[in-house]
This record gives sequence, structure tokens and C-alpha cells, in this order.
Amino acid sequence: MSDEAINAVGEYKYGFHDPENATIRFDKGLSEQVVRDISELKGEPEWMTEIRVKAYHHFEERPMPDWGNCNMLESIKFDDVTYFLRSSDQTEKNWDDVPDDIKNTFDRLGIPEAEQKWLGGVTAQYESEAVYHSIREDLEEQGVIFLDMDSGLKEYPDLVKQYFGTVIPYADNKFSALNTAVWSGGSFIYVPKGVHVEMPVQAYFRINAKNMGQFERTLIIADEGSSIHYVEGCTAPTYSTDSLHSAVVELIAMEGAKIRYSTVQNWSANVYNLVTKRGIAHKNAVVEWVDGNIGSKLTMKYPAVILKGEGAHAEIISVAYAGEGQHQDAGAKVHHLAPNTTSNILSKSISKNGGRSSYRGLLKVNPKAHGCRSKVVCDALMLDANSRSDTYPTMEVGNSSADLEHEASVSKISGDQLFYLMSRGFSEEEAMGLIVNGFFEPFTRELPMEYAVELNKLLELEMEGAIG
Amino acid sequence: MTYLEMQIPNRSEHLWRYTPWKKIHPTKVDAIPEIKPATVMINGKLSKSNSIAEIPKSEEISRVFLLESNSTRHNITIENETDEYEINVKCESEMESCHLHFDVQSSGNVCLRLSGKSSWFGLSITAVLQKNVTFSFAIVNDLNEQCTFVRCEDWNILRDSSLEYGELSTGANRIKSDIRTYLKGTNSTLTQNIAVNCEDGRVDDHHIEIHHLSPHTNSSLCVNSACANKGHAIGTGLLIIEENCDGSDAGQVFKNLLLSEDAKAEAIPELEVLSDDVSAAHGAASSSVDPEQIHYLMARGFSREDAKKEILEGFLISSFAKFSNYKTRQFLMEELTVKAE
Repeated sequence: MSDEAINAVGEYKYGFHDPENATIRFDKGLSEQVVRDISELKGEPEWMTEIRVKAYHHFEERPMPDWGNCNMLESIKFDDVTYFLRSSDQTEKNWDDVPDDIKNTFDRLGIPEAEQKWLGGVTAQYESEAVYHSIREDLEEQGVIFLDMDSGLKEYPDLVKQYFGTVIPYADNKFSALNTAVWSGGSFIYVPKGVHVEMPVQAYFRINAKNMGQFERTLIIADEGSSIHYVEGCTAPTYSTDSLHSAVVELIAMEGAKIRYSTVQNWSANVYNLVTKRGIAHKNAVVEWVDGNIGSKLTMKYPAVILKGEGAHAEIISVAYAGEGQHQDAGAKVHHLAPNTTSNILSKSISKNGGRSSYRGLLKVNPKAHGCRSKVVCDALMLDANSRSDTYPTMEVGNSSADLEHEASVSKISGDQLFYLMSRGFSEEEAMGLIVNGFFEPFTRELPMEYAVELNKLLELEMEGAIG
Repeated sequence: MTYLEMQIPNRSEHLWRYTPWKKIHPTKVDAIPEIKPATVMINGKLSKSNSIAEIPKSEEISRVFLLESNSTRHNITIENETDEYEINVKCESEMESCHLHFDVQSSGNVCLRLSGKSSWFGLSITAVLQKNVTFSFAIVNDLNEQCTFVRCEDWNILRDSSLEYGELSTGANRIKSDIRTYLKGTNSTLTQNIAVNCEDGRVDDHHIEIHHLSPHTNSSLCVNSACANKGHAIGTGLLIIEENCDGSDAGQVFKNLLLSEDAKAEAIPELEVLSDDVSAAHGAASSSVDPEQIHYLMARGFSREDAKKEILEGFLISSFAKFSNYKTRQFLMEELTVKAE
């Protein structure tokens, strides 16, 4: 490869940036006043301001995690981050109304084109807030609410108040506290009883400014017997200074509902990506996380599912690619709280050029959760001697009827597989690219086709120079 | 750093997550009480301990505590291939401890049995397997049912040597075992098999670290834990393959058999790999007794309880079935059979 792949994705294709045309930009640094100013600027109800302020104080008091990549975490300069930047005065429903420079960015990312072809709705977030938002009319007619989070709070304050922070309270961890204090943007989705949203809805998150912090907040509620597939993509320009992305995503699947949340995270290598994602599955509900981590400097992300109702199911597929200077600390957590709940976790990672990938997982079975079943599989490929791969799984079983399995392996690319492909005319680099694509195939086949094609090309590009 | 200068470890540390130091300290954490040396019999003869001239430096709190509270050690040198050691360590007063150091210069085997009435017992084992030896080691924990047992082991394996390690843990009430093996020489090998039986509120916490420090080193760890009647088995493993250890092969498996509603089991098999040309795998499984196995045995005349007992014994005994050293294998199996009866 691969002129074709380079043509398709470029040399970190998303590394471009546009001139900043902010309408409002806060000074760098965080204080209670900044938190109150964000809330006031958005015209939020009093209860939300109070939650923000409490969360801010918790963030200040809570120490940094003493596990994971402490060196990288300690190097985050919270005082150098811009916590709020408004690029457009309003969220548009028509791409033609979006300011030209921002629209150009999303054109280059292919979002409007994708929307026309295969999406049920789109939110495009640029810096701190959504600049474009639309939903198909037929979904709107069925009562589906798909808004950016700020509009969701304005238009449905009671619904937001009922569920906001119920899955991930602000005191959950330091970064959920940070997000709750300064959140801006994200998606708010409510799917009414029995409604199946057939086409995926998408949110696209873009950081453009230097030293920017993006703290979107997403809340998805699928009412009884409904279903939705939400797709999330993330990119940022390549700067010499670091940016911070700290999102919180809460999913609530009511009885018999199904939520699938797919992410392809391709932040540039100067972004700290510290995200808390968790879903609650009620009786016979299904929550699925399909999570791809290709970019960022440090990712710490462990999508979790709380299986609260009998017969609920969790499915987590996670892949990570750690290249030079990257640490992908990803994983999955499942809490079996109710009887006859089931879960599957599949994690795949590749480390190359000194990159480090870690799987950190938790599987917990409550003493009253009879008849639970779970399977965890972690596979890691190491492509050179400078890289590193770790696995930190935890299994806590409090019920004797539980059936749990965990297996993990770390290895390099098989010489036999390389030989087979090379004897059929592939160069060593092409052969490795094919093997890597095959290794990630359980993940890519769960993505919408356009995403899968993009991801495969991206991986092919990342594999360049893997030989010698 | 001395014990009193050390900070009490935080529970967020992997090692102290389930059994905090204050729960296994014999008195209060800020004290070093008087701890008597346990009686050590080697091949039926009373062994005399020596003072440790130079206390080895360690930054791990339980190791430092054990050494500071009792600075005598039994040095055992394995010099001849025909050497067979049966060691009985017996603790009778309220708090006792024992340090054993093995200098393995030749192939051989050691069977070690721990028993006694103490309410607190500490054991420290250090060992060096010199080049080109094959050593088989079996340890049986048969301490009294009320005992709190703290154990630290450090095994160093040099080039072309192999250690076959077997353990049967059925005694004491609260156990914290920290067993570390350092594969220091090329082509060194560790085979470690541990059987744990947790009954009647017994809490057995095994932390097992295996460090691959040279190329072409091999390790295999299998921990079989059975839990019944509020028994709680904890297995935390840390397998580290350092840089430049190509050609290494490592595997670890934690299996938990849960026999009652109140039983609990934790398994955390961690893996850190810094070399690429290696094979490293780990697995963990938790399950109850297979009803088909019970049905099979009941159809052949066993009562339900007897069928469960047979399955439990088979599960634990399978840990030692592949032991190559006859002497240590028989020692472990006989002890297990006696316990089961």
C-alpha cells in the first residue's frame, strides 16, 4: 500500500486545522467561576448549576488515579486547558447555514455525505458545542428525541433531571467529576416504547483549537422494547501542545430495549482521552459497546455495563492500536447484579513502534445473581521488541452458580501466516497489513460498512513502516 | 527502610486489594511484637537456626516485618542428587515464625509440612537454584483452623535449572501468601501447581508473581481453588516478561470451583509483556459443580454429598497429577487424601 490508502485517509488525514473564529472563548484554567459562567451562558436551571459546582469541588479534592500510566496523567496541565469555546452562535439544521470554515471541516471529514447515504440523524460538535444537528423526519414523527445535550436540557429539563448522573454520578471518578463540572455538548436521545431506529444516528466530535478541552455529555434512554444504534467518531488537529477530551456517556436500556454504541476514536497523538462510559440494562435488555481506539496520546476508557434486570445481556467488543508514544489503556467492565444475566467481552490490541496497550477489565457477579454466564477473551499482538502489552483482568464471583471464563494471549505475528501470504505474492508489509486487518475483523464486521472500510484503510496506513 | 518507617500499603495496590496488611498483622500495624522462632525438624532431627548476618534489603512490608520480627534462619543446602528432605515446621506458642533458605546446588526434592497451634504464623522462604539443577518442592499447609498465616517466598532460578513447585493449602483461617519467582537464567523453567480448599469461612489469598528476566525462560502456573461454606479464595497473578526475553513461554490458569451459595472467589491473572517474540497466555474460570458429573456418580451409588466430595478431591488432586517427581507428588496426594477423609 498504498497510494490508495494514503489517498483515502492521508497522513493522519484529520491533522489539519482551521483558523479559530471563536464567538466566545474562556480564558485558560478552571475555577468555580468558570463553571458558573458556563452554566449561566447556557441559561441552565439552578439544579444543574449546583451539580456542576459540587462536581467541580469534588474534582479539585480528588487525587489523580494512582494506577495506570501515572507519568502521563501527571503531565496533564489542567491550567493550560481552555474549558469553553463557542464557535457558532447556534446549532443549525441545514449544512448551508453552518459557518463556512466549520462546514469545510466537516465536508473534509465526509459527514454531510455520510448523512445523506446512511444515517438517521447527525450531531456535529465543534469545540464545546454542537454546530449542526438534524434528525430524519420519520423518526421525529415516531417520537424519537435526538438533540444535542444543551438543547435536550432546555427542551426536556424534567427528563434530563430524572436520568442525568444516575448511571455515572459526578463522584464516580476524577474525570467524571471534571466532565460534570464543565460539560458542554454531546447528545441527548430518547427512543419511545417499541420504536426501532433502523438507521444508525451519528455524532461527530471535532477539536480544532490548541489546548482545547472537550467535555461532551451523552445520555441515551431506550424505553421498553425499543432499539437504537449510535455511532460516534472523533478527530483533532495535530499540535505540539496537548488537548484534553473527557467525556461521560450514560446509557439506559429499559426492559427489552437494545442500545448499541459504536465508537471509532481517532484523536491525534496529542490528545488525552479520559472517558467514562457506562450503561444500565434492565430486564431482558441488551447494551453493546463496540469500541475502537486508534488515536490519542493516552486513552483510559473502560466501557461498562450494569446488568440490573433478569435476563439482561452485555456485549463489549474493544480494539486498540498503540503506536509510537501512545498508551491505549482500554478494557471493559460488567456487573452482573441480576439472575440469568450474560455477557461477552472481546478485546484485541496491537502494539507497534514502542506503543503500549493495556486491557483492564472487571467482571463481577453479585451474590444474588444466579445462573450468570460470561466469557472474556483478550488477544494482543506485538509487532516489535520495543512495544509492550499488559492484561489486568479482575473476576469477582459471589455466586456459586456463575459460569465465567477468561482467556488471554500475547504473541507476535505468526511466521507461518507471513510465509503463507508472502509465498502467494504479497510483500512482507502487505502480508502484515492483511493479518492485522484479519485480527481486528471481529470488530470491523460490527461497524457500519463505511466505518469498516475507513478503519481498514486507516490500519493499513498505520502499518506502513512496520517492517524494518 | 525499617518496618516502622514504612507506610502501611494502600488497598488500591494490587497486592493488598483483598487482604489489607492490618488484617494479617499479628497485633497493631504500628508495632513489632515479640515473635518466637518455630520448631523445625529436618528428616526427623531438630534443626538449629543461625542469625542472618546481613538482612536482605526489601521494600515490601511483609518481608521486612518477618525479617525484623525474627532474624534467625535455617540454611539448607541441597548438595547431592540423592538428597531427600522432609521438613516439619511446628508452631506451638501464640505467635511464631520461621525463615528457610535453600541453596540448591544439585537436583533434589523437599517436602515441607506446616502444622501447630499458633494463632499467628509467619513463614519466609528464600531459595537459589544454581545452574543446571532440577528441584522439586512440595508444601502442605496444615495449620490450626484459627491461625492467621503470612507467607513470603522468593525463588531465584539460574540458567538451565527448573523448579517444580506444588502446594496444598487447607490449614489456617486467614492466609496471605506472596510467592515470587525470578527466572534469571536462560532456559530456566518454573512449573507451579497450587491446590486450595476453602471451607468454613476460610479466606485464602494467593499473590503469585513470575518474572521472566532472561530469554528462553518458561513458566506454567495452575491454581485450583475449591470454596464451600463461606470460603473465599483469592488468586492474584502477575506475570512479567521483561525486555529482551525473546523465546519465552508463559502461561497461567486460575480455576475456581464454587460449592455453596455463600462461597466467593476472585481471580486476577495479570500479564505484562515487554518482549515481542514470546508466547504468553492466561486464563481464569469459575463455575459450580457440573450437575452431569454428580448425576454420573449418583447413578453409580454415591450419595449427593459423597459425589460432591469425590468431585472436589478429583479437582484438587488434578493439580498434582502431572508432577514428574514421584516423592513430592506422593506427599501432596497422600496429604490431600487424608484431609479429604
